[in-house]
Amino acid sequence: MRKIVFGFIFLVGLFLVQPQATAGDNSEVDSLRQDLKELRSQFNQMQQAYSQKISRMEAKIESLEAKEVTAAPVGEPTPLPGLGRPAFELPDISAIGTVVANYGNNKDDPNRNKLFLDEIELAIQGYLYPDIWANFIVALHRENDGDYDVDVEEGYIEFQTLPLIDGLSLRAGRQLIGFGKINPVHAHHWNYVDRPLVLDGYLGDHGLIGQGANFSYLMPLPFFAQLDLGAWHVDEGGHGHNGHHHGALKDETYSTRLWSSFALSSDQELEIGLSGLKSYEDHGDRAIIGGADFTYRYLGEGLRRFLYQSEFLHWTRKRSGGDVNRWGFYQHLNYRFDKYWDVGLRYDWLQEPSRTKEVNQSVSGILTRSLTETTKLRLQYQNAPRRDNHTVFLQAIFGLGPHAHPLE
Amino acid sequence: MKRILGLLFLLTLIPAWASAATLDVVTTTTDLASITEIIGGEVVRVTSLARGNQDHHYVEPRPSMVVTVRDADLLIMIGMDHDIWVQALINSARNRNIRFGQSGYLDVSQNIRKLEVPSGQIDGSMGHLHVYGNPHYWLDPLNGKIIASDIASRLSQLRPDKSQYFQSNLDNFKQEIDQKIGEWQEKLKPFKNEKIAVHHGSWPYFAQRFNLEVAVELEPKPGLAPTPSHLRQVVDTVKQKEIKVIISEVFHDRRPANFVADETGARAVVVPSSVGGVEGADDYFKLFDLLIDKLVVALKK
Repeated sequence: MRKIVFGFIFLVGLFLVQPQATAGDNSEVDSLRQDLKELRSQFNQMQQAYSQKISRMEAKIESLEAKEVTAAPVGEPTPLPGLGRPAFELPDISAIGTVVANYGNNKDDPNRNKLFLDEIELAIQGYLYPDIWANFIVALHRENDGDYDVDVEEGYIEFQTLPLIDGLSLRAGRQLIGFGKINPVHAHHWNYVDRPLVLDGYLGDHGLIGQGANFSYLMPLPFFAQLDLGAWHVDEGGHGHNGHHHGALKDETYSTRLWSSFALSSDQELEIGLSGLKSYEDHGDRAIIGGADFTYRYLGEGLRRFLYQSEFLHWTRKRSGGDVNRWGFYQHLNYRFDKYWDVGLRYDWLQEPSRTKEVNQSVSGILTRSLTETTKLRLQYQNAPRRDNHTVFLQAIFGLGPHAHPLE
Repeated sequence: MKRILGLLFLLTLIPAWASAATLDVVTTTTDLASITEIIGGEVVRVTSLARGNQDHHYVEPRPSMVVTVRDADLLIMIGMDHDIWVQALINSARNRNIRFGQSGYLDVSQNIRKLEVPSGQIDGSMGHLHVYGNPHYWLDPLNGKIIASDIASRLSQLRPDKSQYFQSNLDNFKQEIDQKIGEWQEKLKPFKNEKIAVHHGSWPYFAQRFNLEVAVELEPKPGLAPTPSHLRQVVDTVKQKEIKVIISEVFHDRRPANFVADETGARAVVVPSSVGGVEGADDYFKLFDLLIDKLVVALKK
């Protein structure tokens, strides 16, 4: 552009110089010289002005070209997690760790007055094929004796749709059994540090995990209603054991859950669930557990949320000398102020499955500060009145990488 | 014989009845719902999963939403990981039509010229960065035209018999945007290159379109809570750059903006960033009417 303008000026200059050589009259020559001088001056000004304009335009072009470098290509939707990120074809890989500090006066608690890494969960997740998803979670757990166990917590393939029957899906492999509201949820997703007493007492201190298959049917109804049926083999001594209270659940286990939900308004939702489980105690006795759970959510402006959740469990051991029946529950209130802070309260009540039928209770107050969706700091105070135990927990949950869980 | 012929006649009506049925469209946000309603008119029944006064990054998928997604003919999303929570609903809904790559899955970010696309290594130390760029692109009304075109095109694919109707609605929408954008730009013209402070980085597309400059953010890094030390720096910047307005969205904690306002004399303004965010922001056009009027009032003071 600059060259063209300068060339143009040169040609016009030549054209103007030409008449000077043919002028015969001196006065005319002087007048022409004067005109030429003025024209030269005008051309110089024009040249300067064009030069500045061209410089400005070049600078603008350069700045626009620089912006283009940071812009993403258009015409492509955002890739799905697990379907391959830019430049890589990797599944979602993540690690979630939990560190706990426990301070209290319960001398029976092996973790009393200790700070320890409680768990690390390594997850590899992603789609294998349209509608087929895989989930592998290996967990490093701290046991009560202070040693660490490495376990496959979950490893399954999920067929999110199946031919012939709309609404039916299948999950096969090792997984947390879909009984009740909290058992299928990984601990780092809870609103509190410890497992509610009733789940710890009846399902095990690491949750009930089985090898098998679960069919899930989303019913063709105008409200959410899902029926789950599972058949499992629970390994004795794995995560299907029931803590230190009594024998483990093991062997052939069948589970069912009917989960329904009703949107009461655009900002309120009520969930009701009924669950059943048939398994064996390690003594060989049949164990039958029934459960009912309720969840109510009120969603306010922004991220404000009020949550009420409770689960009631009824546990029966079938014995030749007569059935043993126990029950227990927890109730949980949580209020989230914004995306950073929430407070909660939990009350636990449990009839121990031991012969003495002791009742255990606890009350917990919880404060959580969320740094990100997967990184949280939590303070929990717990009082167990039967032995006048007071415990303070400090918990840090930290997550790296994209991590997904099924709808909870 | 007559009965058989009658039955055959009824059977021939089935495809006609099916094609005349209303399309169930589910959108992740109210902005997309508003544009879809304008383009789809009487042919669509639209439901937004998120509300206008919610932070779209953190919508909690609920079981009742599964049913909404299960029954959808078309699911429209913002994409760019802005509404990534919708994946849990897609996975639970058992609706093959709305899965990635199917005709019922529409990510309207696909034809948007994206801003603030990060380059190099990204990790949590940088805050909640979006790897595909800043996703608040609906806040540029000209991007609204691109979104509307994508929606019209997909609706036409699903209901070819109504493509002229969608095209006509799209033409009207574009015409109205062209007319309104002149009005909006005229209103903000006296404040050309005005520097503003914002709570969260939702405004690069809006600022670029209306010649404003986002000079400072109250969040120290994207998505992180404002800290006292960072707010001190913000106060200095606001004073130094003579910033008059601090913008928060309706779902943000108002205390950080009020603190900076008190310390500097700048005005803290709470604005909706989505349709339905406040009363009066009833559709995509009214959202900008309200947003720009609020800004103009604050900048004039």
